[in-house]
Amino acid sequence: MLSPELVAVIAFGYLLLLFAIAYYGDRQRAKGRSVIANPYIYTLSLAVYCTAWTFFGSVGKAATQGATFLTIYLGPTLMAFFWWFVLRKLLRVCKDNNLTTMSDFLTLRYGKGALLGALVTVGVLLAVVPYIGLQLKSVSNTFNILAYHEVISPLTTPVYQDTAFYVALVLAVFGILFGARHLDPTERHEGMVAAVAFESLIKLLAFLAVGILVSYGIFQGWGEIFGGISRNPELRQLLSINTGTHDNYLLIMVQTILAMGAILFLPRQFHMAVVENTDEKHILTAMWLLPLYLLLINLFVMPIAFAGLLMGFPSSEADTFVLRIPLQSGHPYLALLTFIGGLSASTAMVAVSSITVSTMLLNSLVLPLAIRLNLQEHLPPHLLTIKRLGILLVIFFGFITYRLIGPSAMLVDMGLIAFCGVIQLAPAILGALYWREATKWGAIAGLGAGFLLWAYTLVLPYLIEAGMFPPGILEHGPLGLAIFKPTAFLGLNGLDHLSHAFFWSLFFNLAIFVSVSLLTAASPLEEEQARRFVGIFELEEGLPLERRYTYLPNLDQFTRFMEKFIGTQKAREARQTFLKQVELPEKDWGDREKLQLEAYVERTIAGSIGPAAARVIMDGYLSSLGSRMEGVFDLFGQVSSSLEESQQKLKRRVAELSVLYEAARTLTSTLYLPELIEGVLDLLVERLGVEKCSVRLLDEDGLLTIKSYRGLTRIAQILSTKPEINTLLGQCLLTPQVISVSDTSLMGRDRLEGLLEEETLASFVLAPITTETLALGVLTAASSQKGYFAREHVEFFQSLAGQLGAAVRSAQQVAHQIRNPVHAIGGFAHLLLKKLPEGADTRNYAEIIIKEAKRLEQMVREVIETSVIFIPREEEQDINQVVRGALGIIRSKIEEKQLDLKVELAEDLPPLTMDVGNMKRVILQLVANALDAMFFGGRLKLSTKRQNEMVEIKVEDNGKGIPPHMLPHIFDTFFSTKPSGPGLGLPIVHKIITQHRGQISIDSKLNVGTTVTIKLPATQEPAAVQH
Amino acid sequence: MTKKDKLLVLLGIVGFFLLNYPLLQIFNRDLLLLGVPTLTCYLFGIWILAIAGLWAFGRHLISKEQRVQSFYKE
Repeated sequence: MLSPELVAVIAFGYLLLLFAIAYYGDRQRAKGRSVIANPYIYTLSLAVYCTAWTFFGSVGKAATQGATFLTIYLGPTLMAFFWWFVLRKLLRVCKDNNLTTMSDFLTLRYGKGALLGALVTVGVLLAVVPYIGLQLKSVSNTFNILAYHEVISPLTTPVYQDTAFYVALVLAVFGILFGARHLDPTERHEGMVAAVAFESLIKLLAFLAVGILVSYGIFQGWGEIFGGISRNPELRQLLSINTGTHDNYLLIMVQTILAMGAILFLPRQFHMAVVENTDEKHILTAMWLLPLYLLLINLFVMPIAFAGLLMGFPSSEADTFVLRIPLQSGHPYLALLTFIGGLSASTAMVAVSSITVSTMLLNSLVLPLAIRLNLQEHLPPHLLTIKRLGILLVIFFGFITYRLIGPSAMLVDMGLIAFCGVIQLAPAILGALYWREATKWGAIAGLGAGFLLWAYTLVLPYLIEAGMFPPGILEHGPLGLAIFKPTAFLGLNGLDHLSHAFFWSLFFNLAIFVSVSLLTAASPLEEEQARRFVGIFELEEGLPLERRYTYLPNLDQFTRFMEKFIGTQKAREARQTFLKQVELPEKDWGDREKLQLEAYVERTIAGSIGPAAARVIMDGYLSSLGSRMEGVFDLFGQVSSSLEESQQKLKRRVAELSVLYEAARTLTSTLYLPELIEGVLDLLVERLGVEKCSVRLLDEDGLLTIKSYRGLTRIAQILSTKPEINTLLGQCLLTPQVISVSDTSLMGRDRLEGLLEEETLASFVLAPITTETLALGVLTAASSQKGYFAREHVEFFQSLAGQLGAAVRSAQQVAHQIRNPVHAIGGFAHLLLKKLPEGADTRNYAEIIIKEAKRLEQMVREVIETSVIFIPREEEQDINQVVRGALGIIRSKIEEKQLDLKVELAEDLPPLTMDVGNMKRVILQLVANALDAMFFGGRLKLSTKRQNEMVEIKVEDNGKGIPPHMLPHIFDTFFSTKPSGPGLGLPIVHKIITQHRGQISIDSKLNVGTTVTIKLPATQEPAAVQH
Repeated sequence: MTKKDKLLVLLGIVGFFLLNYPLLQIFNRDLLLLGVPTLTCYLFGIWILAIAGLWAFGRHLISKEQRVQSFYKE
């Protein structure tokens, strides 16, 4: 016979063995030789699903209800068909984000708020605590049966004599030793997994041993057992189902669905399947091996149950048949093995559950609460203690429920209550993985309703039975409202308690989750997470930068920060892992890497304290360093960060393409380079919101000169520089390549030479303007925000600069290709003229050829000239001086035509700010046009006049005038009133005048004359010339 | 996930139907088959078939994963 001492010593010895295994597992992991990294251990660890409920309860259920208990194991088998899709996705999301519990998973997905996590934690705690109590009950009952041959009711025993109390203590120590010996950011406990896997093996072997003894030792095979039952009219109904509400088809379906959910959503299953997983591919083995394990452990359940009944045990003792049969038949040591098997089932479940639930408590309740109370500064040193207390607390709660309601309920009931509780998580978790539109409020409302109804319709009846609430609620409803009766909610009668509770809780949960999700809007953070969770398999490539910090600590600072939460050793490991990940030494990091580090550190500490707390603590830490987060203003306007990735890319492409398209249009509509460059810069500013941009072109002396710009104010500092290859500017031009600098503070001063100070504040892009053979200049775009130009923009600037290059090239080509033939024509016409005899008719033709050739040459010169534009050099000048200067140049022409020239220059003019060269060209062009329009003896008048704050310049002639239909087009490029004119003169004039903020108007009457009026504003302040 | 892989999901759904009313009704008889109740035989039979199906699919997917991995290594 077995003495209590022997049983206690054996049990304790077995627990010591488990400690040894767990210790070994942890040691091997520290050495980098994981003992659990294979699919078989993974499968055995998932067998933590089989608790004392399986070990003892299944037999109890089979002895009273027949085959219905099988649904609890067929459900997981069915679920295994979906593992490769659902579990793998869950796994990937959790690994990528270092999530360690379901509440963290939901918190992160639904916007990092604390409320949802707290709700999940409370719900799961309520569901799991009685389940833990059930394990304690099982261990203490089996111990008492083995040692004293009787079950001792906790109602009659003081706590200190209750075996369950000591079991609870030992299990708490076990949980603390292997679940909270140190802080682990990944929350992985390989030692514990190894111990659990070992226990799974033991419980299977123990059960098979009893089964074989019963089937073939005591009876002559299954035939005899089943035959005996079928011959017994009272027990006969156990062989079939659907004989009453306790085993009808509805209940079978409900239990199957509950079991399908439980294998995925029970905290301990989630922990083993997701957190402790070392390789996704292990799922592929576990998905058939676990069902096989479940089949084997259930193979002898019915034979044992029926054998017990045939042997004359009362069915009320069916929960302990596994133990009583070997004892009765004289196999005490087999009974001891069975006891150890049951102990394995219980301890594994309690250890894993208490660890995971305490992690949830810490991450989702304690830390958010501490942050609310502003205690986060004091927390880090106590994290480990809090976690240990959490484990202790969970097991203690389990013990309390065992003392209070344990005796009144069968083992199986408590398990199903827990199953029904955790399945409330299914909509929110599956929604998180597959439904982008699921929102935080949808999840909170759905879960809240689900948990509430579950507690009301399923838990409350048990509490009433245990005498904690007045029984009237069950019979007549609360306050006599029969419609709210917990077991017949809204008048739904005739269902068993479980199906009734399952239906109502999940019905409201699902309906509210979906409808509230559809009615509320997700925050941008939530949408981003939804995109990342749902599309986890698509997002292999890096995302564009969506936010940045004004300042980020360096790796050393971050390491010290992490130490507070995960300890020195783990922080150092995390640091090494990160360095391996980025593959770049710290000094070469750009914004992207720094941001990666920030996200990595947040994920790492989130493993210890949960995502909600990690976010708040991280923000607090960064702001204490004077850093704040700001969204990187999206280069392409309203593209919200919350949009789906592909959509975002598409929009960006569209914006880029539209700019390129516009640029191409400008290019084909004008050969006038200044206009093209101005147009491109305008596009950059208006369409893409670029702050500062400029075009620098190479001149004949090999100097880079700023030709045109936007948003730069201190342009005078550097007008021309020689591009040296050691500077970025030179590198860009000479190699040639697009250079993007996301953080100028990481660049040496000498590399930035040639660029304006205001261009090098934070980030910029340099793009070379080149033709196939020539480097022509550099297009620059700069921002005062770091990281403004992401890598994807490089391509865009390359195309834009390429277009500019093509424009310059085509202008040059036209000019060069025309110039030489025109030279030749003019030259030969001269020769022809000399050879022709005086007075010949043909001389006239030759003269016309010479004249036209000259005009052509003039036009070519203009094109070449205008290809090189000037940056307007603003200086204060007397406009009269400019007019006189221009007249000096063109005087000979005027005299040639013997014109009547009148010049009226007012002396009271205010000073004007202008580019003298350009203004001179304007006057020259206008006078030249007038000359062209007049015949011998015409009248030309130039005048200047003050008009308030404006200066008016007039050029009047009495030439042939401009036909009225042409007047509106007079400033269009390539439009000419003259049949063969180049059509470039007036557009340039117009451009220059508008550059000077002036106006130009033309008044003309056919055969009467033309008056061109220019109005220029007087200098008010030394403002930059407007473009 | 290829088209073929989706078959696995279908098998799971079929399995759910096989293990529920009304198909269960067919085998829910008061009859012993080789000394074992028909219902028990049926449930365990489906179970074994499911395990075999899962095993075959698992093998198929593992070898596929390995092919993909070796492809990237080359």
